[in-house]
Amino acid sequence: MITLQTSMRNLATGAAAMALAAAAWAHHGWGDYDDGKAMTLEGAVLESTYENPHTVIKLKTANKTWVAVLAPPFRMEARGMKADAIKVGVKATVVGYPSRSKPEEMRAERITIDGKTVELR
Amino acid sequence: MTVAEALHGMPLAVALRGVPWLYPTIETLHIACIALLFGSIAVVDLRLLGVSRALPVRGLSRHVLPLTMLAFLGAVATGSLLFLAHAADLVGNRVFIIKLGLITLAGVNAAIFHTGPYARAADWDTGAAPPAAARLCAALSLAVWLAVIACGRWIAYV
Repeated sequence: MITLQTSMRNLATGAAAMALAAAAWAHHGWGDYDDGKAMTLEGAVLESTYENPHTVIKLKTANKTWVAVLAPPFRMEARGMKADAIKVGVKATVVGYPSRSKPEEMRAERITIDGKTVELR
Repeated sequence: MTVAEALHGMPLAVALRGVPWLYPTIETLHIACIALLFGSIAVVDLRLLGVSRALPVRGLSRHVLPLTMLAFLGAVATGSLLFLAHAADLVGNRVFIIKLGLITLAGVNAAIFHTGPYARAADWDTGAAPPAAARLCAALSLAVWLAVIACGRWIAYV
């Protein structure tokens, strides 16, 4: 039997996935990201949406949780980083640029997981 | 579960987002349809603006219109799939709403042209200056379809 808590939790999970997907769906260029402010983030992957048109992860760093926009899944796979490499909980280092309009979002130039670095542009 | 969540969870929507090659393939087909749609419309609209008056208007239209309709149906089909992949985000995207409005406007403009100036096209079929109403419809058509393309691309930036 599905309890109220379970259905509430399912609803919350669904809503979180959709919120992350909201960052992923816009298939656009680099113009909205400030390449004068290159930044390196290190943290644990909280959520991963390995979806078209862009893979998006939520990364929990020491002082902030970031939404990092990565490359389309096809490019990620071609460069050797499949969905199972970006699992929830893994440590990732991301180099990229902050969004000019969304304070929590950044676009990643490259990502390193388990010593493997993949260029995303 | 909301309608948006139901659409988001449909197996086809999940596949469109999750299968790496599928989404770019649909995008490719969508662009091919747009190219044929806008290209075929531009050929007729330029004729209606007075370019290449040696070409019979009705003969040209009969040749081109089926291509335009085919391209339009293809663009709607592929566009619906792209919409399905991200329905919840797109229903709240103002540029997407404007795009749908402009497509409706383009359809109304085409209907006005076909029941208005085109119904009397025998009078100006070849070698004559198209009537002002035809020129107006053609100019509006080019402008609106260009705006539709602009909105389509702009959706991802707002």
